[in-house]
Order: sequence, then C-alpha cells, then structure tokens
Amino acid sequence: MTKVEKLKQTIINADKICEEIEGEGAKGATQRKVEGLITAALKEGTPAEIVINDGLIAGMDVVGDRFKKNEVYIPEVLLAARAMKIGMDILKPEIIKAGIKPIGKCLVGTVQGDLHDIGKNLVAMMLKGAGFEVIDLGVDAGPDKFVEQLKSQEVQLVGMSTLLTTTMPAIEKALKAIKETGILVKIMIGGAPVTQDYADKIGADGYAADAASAVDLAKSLLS
Amino acid sequence: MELKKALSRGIVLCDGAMGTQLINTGLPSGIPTACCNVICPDRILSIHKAYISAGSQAILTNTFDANRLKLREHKEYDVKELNRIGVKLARQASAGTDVVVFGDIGPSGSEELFLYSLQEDKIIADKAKQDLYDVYKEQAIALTETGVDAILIETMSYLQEAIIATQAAADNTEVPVICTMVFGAPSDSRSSDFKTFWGDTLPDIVQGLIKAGASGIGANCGDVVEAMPRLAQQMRNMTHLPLVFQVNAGRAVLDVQTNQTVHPLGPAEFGRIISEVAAEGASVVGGCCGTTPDHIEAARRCLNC
Repeated sequence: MTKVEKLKQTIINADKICEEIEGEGAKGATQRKVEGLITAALKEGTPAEIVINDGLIAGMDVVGDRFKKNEVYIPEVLLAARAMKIGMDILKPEIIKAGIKPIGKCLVGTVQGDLHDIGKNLVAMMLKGAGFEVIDLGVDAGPDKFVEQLKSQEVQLVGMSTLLTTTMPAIEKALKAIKETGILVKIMIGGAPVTQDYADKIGADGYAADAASAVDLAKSLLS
Repeated sequence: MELKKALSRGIVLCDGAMGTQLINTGLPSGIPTACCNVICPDRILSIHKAYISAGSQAILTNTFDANRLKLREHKEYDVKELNRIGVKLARQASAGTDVVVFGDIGPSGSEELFLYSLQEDKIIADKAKQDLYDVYKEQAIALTETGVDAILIETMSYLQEAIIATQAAADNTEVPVICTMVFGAPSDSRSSDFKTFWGDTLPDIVQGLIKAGASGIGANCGDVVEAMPRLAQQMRNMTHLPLVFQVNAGRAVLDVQTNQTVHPLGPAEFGRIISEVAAEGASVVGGCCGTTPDHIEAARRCLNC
C-alpha cells in the first residue's frame, strides 16, 4: 500500500484510532499518524496535490458516501473531518509553495434566530473535506454578517441553513440582502424544514437534503 | 400526582408540543423557549391548560432548553429561575387536578464538542464528562426543588450524553428519571435496525440508560413516526421498565403558497399511532413537535381514557 493510500485509509478509519491505542488521546495519535504518512509521502516525491486529492479528499469521499447510505453516523464523519483538518494544516506550507488553489471558497452560516448548528457544521466539514475553503459564520448569522463577508472575501458560494420553520423567513431575508449587493455568488440552502419548492420560490440556486448531497450540489453549482 | 400511582391506573396520556403552540402565537425570535417563562408566563399557563382540557394526564414543564449551555449567550436569564418558574407554571395550571408534572430536560447542544473532548487524553475526557454532568445536575436540582413528580430527559440523540444526563438527574434527585432518545429512519436494507443519528443501537441504549439509573425509557421526535409502534415493540422485548413515547406530527414543511408551517400528521392519524404504540406496551404516551391540543384530544378518544 502506498503512503497516500494509507493516508486515505487513516481518514476513513479515523474513528478507530481511539480503539487502536488505548489510554492515549486519539487526537495526538491521529496527529502523529497523519503527519508521519504525509511527511513520508512528500519525501518519496509525491506532489502535495496528489496527497490531498488521492489521500485526504478521497478518504473523506468514502466517509461521505457511507454517511449518505446510513453505514456510518455523525461521530465517524466528525472524526474523519478532524483527521482531514490535521492533514491540511500539516500541508499548509506545501499548499502555499505549490500554489494549490481550493476548488472554491464557500461561506456558510445558520440564519438569524436559529441556534442549531450540527447540520451546518457537518456541511462545513464535508465541504472542507471535498477541497473547498470554508468560512463559517456560525449560528444566528443575520443578513449583515453574510454581506459583510461577501464584500471582503472572494467567495463563489454561500450555504445557508435553518432547523426551525420559524426561522425560515430569515433565509429569504439574507438571500435578498446578498442579491442586492450585486455580487455574483451561487446560493444553496438546507435544513430540516427546507424543501426544493422553497428554494425555487425564494430564488436560491439549489437545495440539498443532507451534508453529503450539499457537497455534490456545491461541486455542480461551481462547474 | 406521583408517576407510579398514575401508572397504576393505566396508560398516562401526556401533552403535545409546547414550541409549536408558542410559534403559532408568535414566539420571540432568537431566544431559548424557556425564556418565555419570564417573558410571557400567561401564554405558557394557557398552553398547559389547553392540554389539560384536551385530556392530558401529564404535562411537561417549559424547560426543554433551560440549561447553562443553551443559555450561555443569554446571560440575562438565570438557569435556576427559568426552571423554577417553569415548574410553578405547570403546577399552577394543574392545580386541583391529578395531572403529573414532568420536569423537562433537553440536550445541551454541545454534543460535537463533547465528542471531541472525549477524544483527547483521559484528563480532558473526564473533565468534559464532569462539566456536562454538572450542567444536568444543576437543572435537575432546580426542577425537583420546586416540585416535579418525575424528570423527563428527552430528544437525546447521543447516548453518551443521555447517560450522563440520566446519571446526573438520578444521583441528585429523589424522583423517577425517564430518558427518551431520537431515532433516525432505519435504512431500507436494515428496516428493523433502529439507531440514533449518532449511530447508537437499541440494545446499547436500553442497557446504558438502565445502568445510568433510568426508571423509564423510550423515544420521541425523529423521522420514525410510522415506525414508532415497531420501535416500542422492540424496546418492550428488551426491558420491563415503563416505556415513554412522544410522537411528533411528522416532519414540518413550509407551505410556499401560504407561508405557513405544515405538519403532515393530523389528529386522527396521530391518535391511531398513539393507540398502536400503547398496544405495543408503551405506558406513557404523548405528542412532540407539531402536535396540538386537538391531537391530544384525538389520542384520548382512541385510548378511551
């Protein structure tokens, strides 16, 4: 197995690292394992881009696919995403050196009045896992927060979510505010009460039912 | 009334949604619903009363999100005060009746951080567990000090957290502690395989909660409305503890024409599912998101109670 393939397997099985080494913190162990594999792969002359695409992103792809099929659950995705983030942090100098660009820059946030964020966090993590750069506005993000970031950052995609039906109108408000700026971005929305009909009605570019589908949608909106 | 005594009389019908009722009358935006206990106590009181009139033999205090973590951005509200007032309002609404008052406890909302903490070294993991334990302990004590008949920990989707919440309530109060979990729709290929969104399995849940000190277990909310009777049956085969099932009115969608929230399950359908759940052995049944006094009234008729 090549170092890159081993790295991919490490991402896929990030939740098992804890079981492998008892009594030790899994974060430290993940850090060492991922760091060791990346350093070895680079030493062998593998370009950073291959390490990212065929190692980290390929691993997250498998996890995302399994999540969609109910084969793995939230903890596995969170832990794989954390392992992936550790890898990306280690590779940062290489990414800058090689001038590797993310496939897109995305702004995500849970809209005003909604304090639920597990869904949005999963979307953010899976977008990062797919190679996007993600700016996370957190929860209770009003239209101003979205607009302010859009004006200062070069963003291609905005993702907005809500869990509560009561806060759904806040999506429309933020969407209008974004459109009024005249900045060209694609807007996708999601969350438990949101539907394709609603997305169509308010003029969003797309709707995704879950975090894995949000990644597919993001890719298709930018292609 | 004591829960045990109420259960000895037969099936106990709970109330329906609190949040839905508040939303329908214009919930203040961006704050935890428990804050309504001080902002608009009269509305809470009248919702409780509407459920009791519809036939609820047990009601839940409006304290679902009255915990320290959910209120950390709203420091102007005091955790203990919101819980105490929540209990007082439920007691006031049920004065002169046999209605059981459940002290309602919801998830802390910090599952993700908690999971990460557990992945650090043992010292950090132990501290995270202790911190979470203290959050639930604080709420459970505030509820029981003011006088609830039982504690209902609900809408838990992560078993590790549910166990800590149950332990915290059972260790520090004298009342029965019930814990109900949220289940996702089982995948087509494994239709009998109920799991939480965090992947916890039914046997682990039943064993874990019993060991933690639960006097009753069950399910609420989630994507499994039609499968609730089957879920009750499976739980029944695993424990003799009272089963508690709070069924929602289906997943809410926004009607784009009217801009109104629509819950697909009407009162008649809800009543049918509640009686099926009860037939499978659930002894405390009621409504979750989207249910109204009409739903409870329909359930009462179906259960003949």
